[in-house]
Amino acid sequence: MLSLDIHKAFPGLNLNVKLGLPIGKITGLNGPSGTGKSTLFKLIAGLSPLDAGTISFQNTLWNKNSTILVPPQQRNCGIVFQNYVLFPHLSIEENIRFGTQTHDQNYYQELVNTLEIDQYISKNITVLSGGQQQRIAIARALFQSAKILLLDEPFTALDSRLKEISINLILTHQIKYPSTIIIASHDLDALKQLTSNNMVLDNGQIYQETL
Amino acid sequence: MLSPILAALNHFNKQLKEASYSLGMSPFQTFLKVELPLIKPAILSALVLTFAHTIGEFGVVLMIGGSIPGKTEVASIALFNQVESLHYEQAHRYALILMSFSFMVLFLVNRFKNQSIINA
Repeated sequence: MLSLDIHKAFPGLNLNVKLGLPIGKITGLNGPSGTGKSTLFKLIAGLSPLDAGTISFQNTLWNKNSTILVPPQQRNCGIVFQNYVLFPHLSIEENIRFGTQTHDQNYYQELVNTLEIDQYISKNITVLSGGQQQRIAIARALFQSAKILLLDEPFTALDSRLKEISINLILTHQIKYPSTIIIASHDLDALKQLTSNNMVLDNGQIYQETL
Repeated sequence: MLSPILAALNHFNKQLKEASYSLGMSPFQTFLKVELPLIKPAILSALVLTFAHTIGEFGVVLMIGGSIPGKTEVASIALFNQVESLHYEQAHRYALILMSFSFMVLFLVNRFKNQSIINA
């Protein structure tokens, strides 16, 4: 269980989130832009400290008030960043395999084939389109076999066919590697396909939503 | 030497470091595997600029090393000596060497700079 009791203030925004998210469950998160979805992910991943509150995962306290007790590199959070954040000096394969201790060659190949990355695997990262980069970012996050997956707008640059493929891949991944998955997206259809547990983050407050 | 490297580190894309941490890399591993390769052009640029500066150095070299032909007589000192001896033709040759070297340095620095922009 990922337990969040988060309080973080920004100019013009007070983020207050109290949630408990069990392992093996996908949670959809939507809401207007600039209401703190990406910030919430950064806080969960330990990339930014809280003002007050706690974050704990499986009875281990990760954050207590402004103290980060478990650093981000020990949290095992796979993240798809909104702007992908791929390493420009590395090849596509090195990007997907970066940092991971998993050496499951079959899963790597499965991800690369399913997301059709194999069609441009030898290209340089800097010349890829947004959709191509986004698929690499998804593959990199899934290949971590992380206990927590934070996907920030993971379908924005994908066409409807690749979006379907990605959704199915996430659902299959969830069965193979049960984890706590939070998906921030404005695409309500995609969220509907992924989960029935949807939240709205509006003006720093979180609400349950029925799609 | 330090200022181009510090500038590159200060302007480094913070999100790349965050991505590396989230993928299980410690700050030291992130420095080695992400920051260092990406600021390599800035390091090379700093090295070339420092080298170019020392090539053109005159006063300090003359004070410390003197002007022993074949040993401590560097291009800038040789040029000065030739002008003092009114051997302008030889002085022009040294000047041409130094000027060509300057253009080569400018070319290299611009190349590294473009590389940095691509990495950024």
